Amino acid sequence: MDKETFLESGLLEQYALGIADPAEEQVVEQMFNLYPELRQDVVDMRSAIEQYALQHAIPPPPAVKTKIQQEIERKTAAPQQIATTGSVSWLNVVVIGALVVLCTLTALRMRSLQVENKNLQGQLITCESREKIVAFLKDPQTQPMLLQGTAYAPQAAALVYWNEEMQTAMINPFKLSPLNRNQQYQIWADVDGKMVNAGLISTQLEKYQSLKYLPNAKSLNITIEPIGGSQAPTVSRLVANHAI
Amino acid sequence: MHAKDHQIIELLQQQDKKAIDALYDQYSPALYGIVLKIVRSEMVAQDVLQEAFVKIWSKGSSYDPSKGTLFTWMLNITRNTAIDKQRMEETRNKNSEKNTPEGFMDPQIDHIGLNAEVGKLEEKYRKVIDLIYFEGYTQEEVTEALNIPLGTVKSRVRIALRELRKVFSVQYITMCWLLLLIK
Repeated sequence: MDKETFLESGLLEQYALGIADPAEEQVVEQMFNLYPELRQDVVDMRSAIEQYALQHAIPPPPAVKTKIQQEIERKTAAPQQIATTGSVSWLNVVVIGALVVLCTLTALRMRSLQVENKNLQGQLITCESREKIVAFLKDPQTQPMLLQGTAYAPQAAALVYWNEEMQTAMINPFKLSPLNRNQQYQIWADVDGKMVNAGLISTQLEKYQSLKYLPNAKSLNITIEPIGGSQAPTVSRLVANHAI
Repeated sequence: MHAKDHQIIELLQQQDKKAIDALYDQYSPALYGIVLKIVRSEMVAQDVLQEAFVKIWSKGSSYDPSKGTLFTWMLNITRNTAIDKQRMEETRNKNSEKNTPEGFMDPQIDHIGLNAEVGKLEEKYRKVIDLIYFEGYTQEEVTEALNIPLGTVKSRVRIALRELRKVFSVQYITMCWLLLLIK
């Protein structure tokens, strides 16, 4: 990815603000290797934010400090107490065991409630699959590549994560504009000179979506198609592509 | 400030309680200021600050100085804690009283009060930074909330940060000069 396209993407600012996700962070850190001067930009942006926070400082009420000290005291004291009880009777062990189980169950229940809550809020990615996605993105074999906009849609871009070993691929359509209701983005891979369907991008344009991994793909291309996809790509509406 | 940080980091990584005292004395006003910009009530803000410090303490060993300053790391933890809390409060309020979607289209609080104190960061840039930094919006969500294209959101974030940098670097230079004069 060249520097211009990268700066255009807004990833550097997201990174500096601390709101980039792990995959985006990985891309930014790769760019640091290519263009070390970008590090200084991040340092500058962050120190502007730090200065801003210092200028707007408001001392909290003194009681907060005591509360924090107590809370930390409590947290550090808890495990020590168990350790120093010397002769632990079997009853204690059973009680502690039961408490641990209870806590774990409560934690699990809380977790599932949180997941439910997230689902209710319309988030499609569950916790579990999110973890899988993060693991996939962090895998050292996962190569991010940027599909750049074409003359037809110069602003368009998407990140594809390609993992040869796992034979898996995902796409983050972070810079594809929403389409009208009867259109959808479709991905095509050039395999032996033929354009093969590699999947549809959901109309909601969620961040991480699977796409078909095609081992011999020479390039990846995104076109705008009627909703549900087409048998063959509409080349005139090619919005982004990348040669592998 | 940063020389002192070095010692605090060591204490923090050893899970020494003195670290929290030192961090609190040095940074709590700045962190509390940020929290107050995100959550609407002082009671909640105090809870958030407490929660954030406990997180800072327990995550201390995972802080990596090569990835950024201690202050930035703490700011991020605190901001995320505050945003989570604020979202929870909002969901609860929505469920209980079905209030109007206030604050979504137009955040009422003057988050970055830059207009008054530091130069003139134009409203349109400020709003984008406010939503992203203080309300935890993704750039895509800002697109929807303000009804502007994604490309525009990105360029506004960029310009806002650049302007902030300019403002603060001028101040920094002035401060250095003042310090030199005093010496």
